[in-house]
Amino acid sequence: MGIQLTSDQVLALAPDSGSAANGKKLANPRHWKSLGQSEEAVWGECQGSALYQVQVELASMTVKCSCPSHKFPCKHGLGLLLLSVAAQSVPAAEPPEWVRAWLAKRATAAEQRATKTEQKDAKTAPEEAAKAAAKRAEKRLTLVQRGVASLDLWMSDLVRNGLASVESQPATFWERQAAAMVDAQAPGLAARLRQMAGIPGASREWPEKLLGELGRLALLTHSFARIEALDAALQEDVRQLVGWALKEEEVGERGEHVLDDWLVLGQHVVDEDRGRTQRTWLLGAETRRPALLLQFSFMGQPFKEQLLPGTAQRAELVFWPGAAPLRARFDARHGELRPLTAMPGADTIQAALRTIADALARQPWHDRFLCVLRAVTPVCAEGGAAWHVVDREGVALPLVDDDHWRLLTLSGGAAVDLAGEWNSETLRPLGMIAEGTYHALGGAA
Amino acid sequence: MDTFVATALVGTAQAGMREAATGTPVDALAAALAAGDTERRLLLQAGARAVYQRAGYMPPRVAALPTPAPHELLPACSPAAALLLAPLLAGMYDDLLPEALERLRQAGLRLPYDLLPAALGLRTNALRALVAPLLGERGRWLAGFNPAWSWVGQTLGDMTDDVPAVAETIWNEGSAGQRVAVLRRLRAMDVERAREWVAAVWKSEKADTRADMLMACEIGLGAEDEPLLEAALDDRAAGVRAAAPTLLARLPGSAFAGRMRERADAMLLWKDGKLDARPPKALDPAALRDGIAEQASQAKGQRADWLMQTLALVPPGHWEAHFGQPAEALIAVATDSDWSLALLEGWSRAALAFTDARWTTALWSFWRQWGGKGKRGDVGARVELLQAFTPLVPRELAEDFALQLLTDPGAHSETEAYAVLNALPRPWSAEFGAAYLHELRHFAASLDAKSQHAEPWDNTLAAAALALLPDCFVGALEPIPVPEDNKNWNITNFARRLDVFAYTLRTRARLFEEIPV
Repeated sequence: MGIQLTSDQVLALAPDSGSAANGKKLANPRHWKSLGQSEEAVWGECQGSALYQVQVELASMTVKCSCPSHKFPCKHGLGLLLLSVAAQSVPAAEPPEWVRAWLAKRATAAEQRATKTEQKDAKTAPEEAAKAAAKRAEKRLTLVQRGVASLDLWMSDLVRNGLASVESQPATFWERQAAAMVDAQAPGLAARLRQMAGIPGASREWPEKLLGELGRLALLTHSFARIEALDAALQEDVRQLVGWALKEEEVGERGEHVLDDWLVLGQHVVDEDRGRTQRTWLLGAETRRPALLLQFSFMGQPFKEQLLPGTAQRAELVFWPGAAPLRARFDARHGELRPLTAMPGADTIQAALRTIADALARQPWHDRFLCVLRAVTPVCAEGGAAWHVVDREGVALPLVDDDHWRLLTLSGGAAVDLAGEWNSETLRPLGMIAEGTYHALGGAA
Repeated sequence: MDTFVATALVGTAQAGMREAATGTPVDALAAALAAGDTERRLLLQAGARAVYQRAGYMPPRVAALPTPAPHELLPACSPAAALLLAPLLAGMYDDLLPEALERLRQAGLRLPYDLLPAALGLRTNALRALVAPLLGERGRWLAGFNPAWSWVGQTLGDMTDDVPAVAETIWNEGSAGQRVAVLRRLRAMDVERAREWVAAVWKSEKADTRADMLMACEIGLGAEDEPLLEAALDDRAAGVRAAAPTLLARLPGSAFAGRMRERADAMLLWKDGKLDARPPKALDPAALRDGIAEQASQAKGQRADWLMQTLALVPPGHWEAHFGQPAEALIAVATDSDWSLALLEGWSRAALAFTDARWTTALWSFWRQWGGKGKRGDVGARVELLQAFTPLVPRELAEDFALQLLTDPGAHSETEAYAVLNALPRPWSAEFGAAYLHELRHFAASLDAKSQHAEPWDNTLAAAALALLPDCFVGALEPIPVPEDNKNWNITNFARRLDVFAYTLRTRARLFEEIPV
């Protein structure tokens, strides 16, 4: 028994290096009382300033500790996990009462979440409420339609006067239009406009890139204007892209549920204005479906759910509805976490690109794709200024402008299996398998 | 840029009403659009083209693959050791790094692949020399891709009997530092060839490099070096001139050594069991050429300084033969002389330059006891000399003195205590380590909430954490209580330094555990 993770993977959970170091110190049985583990959980009591009860639910790696630390997971949780990855440190046992109570509470909470929708509907069933909701929806639709019309005019003006003029425009030029879209309750359009603000002048090809982005935005407003003519699945995409966010239960109802062995292939964290966004890419071992798990953290708070690159787990994912669903969340995590030792991927770069082209044909607004390549060789040129991975046919993909020395040194000049994020220009390496061992690449920026 | 993008860039108003075409199958789609304004049509066409290009991305071809890295000859250190090393290589607590790297080398291990980029990024020559043997085949392979890591190819492998082919390449193409390093290695192995190398390039080298090449003569120094060194006394660069005298003085048969002895004999006379010094009133050009500096050190007086400089270039053993007296007796007599400090400093520098163990210990005893009734320059010289003598005198004597300086703070300046403590050979002996810890505890117990300072002990902790032997770790890690007072900075600062001390020791303990030698 024991958790089938490496201590490196456990240490990757630590919120900072101090917690990691303290966790390592506590990873010694002499600090612990009543250690035990079952199929579901591992637990123990750790002597700190008081005797703390520490427990981990293994399926989701959720840590609970009675200590007052605001770090998450705290050093006791990390210490317990480190102990349990060391073979034979934690004996199998029947969970004591405090662990059973917690597990039961978690199970109940999950059930409640599942039935919440029904209950809510049951509670607020009266026709009046439905009528009020319909009225609110209609009001919003009118607002959005008005906003979209003004955005279309603005874009046409841009093209009439020439894109050359925008290079000298201040950031407020874009921000004002984005704010107008927020006011029109179309935050999705606002986000696209904010992204565009960074394009002018940033590269030699900026006019072509900006024109492409404006064009894709025009395609979106065009589709929105004639949304009834679209497939039901694509209608979902268009509404989400314009800015109708789906509630958790709506995703649960309308999205596709996929049970599979989900492999966590890599992770990338982006710092934003007030927080961080973490993109985690998963691949279904049987379905070969890619999934993107997005997590947001504001003001330096930890991400709520633990997603460990280099692990695999039997689980049910539910996808946001759409024509080529990509974004997903965990609905239920069943089995234990296992270390990843292999990545099923495309045998050639052309094959990987074909899969991506298929997805784009179904949903043309996707910006990023999971790209899993088998047996590609990292190539470094110009002293580290130009990077590629090359497949057995000599076909290459350029890597994102960054330092890829770890990828190169771990490859040793041999072909490796690589998972990365493709944005139609460059590949960002996120994880690799060399000699049967997974290595996370990139990661926290 | 194609005409389609150009149209958008100048604006449809400028470009006129003509239809923009992308030249792709997308244009057929645009034709299917209901008639609308030109701008909207262009935007939709641009959107379709962007998706078309994304979906139809044409990957480049790359023909040149890297040569795979050779198989490793050494095993990698354990993953646990790697976890300890990673922060040290990243620059945290990196004063622990030299010891850790040295241990890896002794254990015959290499760094794991993950740590190679950080190891190759080390900046100082000292750390690079330590890390070079740990890079393994993969590290040397990796270094070939990054120009910033070219130092690896220019670092020699283990010292062997013959000069590797790469040595000559480094000598011809390396940086100044690498060339001098390779020259020093060659002098140790094949001094004849090293002399030939230098002779061939001497005239065309820069002054700094010439000075460094001259200094390399200290390795395998022999009579054959005399012509170059003698000529260097007339070099146009002051740095080169300054390097020659000490080396010439160490060649007993050299003309320079003879001149210096003559000069010194004329300055120092033995009369009725006393030493009488007669330094000249002015320097002649020959003395200037031999490197006696004109400028007087202000604190000492010009003539005393000339005397000191001259004595520093004569082997101290000469005086025992010259006056028929043993070193100890000469030193005792010198202390009564009018020129005592100049005499003793000159002899001290000579004892260091000519590595004379008897004179070293005798002179160290003198400086240890000297009360400091001299000018400021003499006090400074004393600290400097004590520091230089400390690693050369018998270890027990030096450690005993260090302990005395720490525990009797009134008698000497703290600078002196730190200078001697830092100069002690590391690791400290187990006895001294235990005594140090005992006195440290004693001192900590003497503190109270009103203590005005924690000197000198607070400033010794960093050195102690690196110098204590593993035998002392258990004792050192027993908590050292200090008064609990959050307001007294002296106490909180001392407590904080004790924390760092304990952290450093624990990390060292784990490094010793994870890298067994």
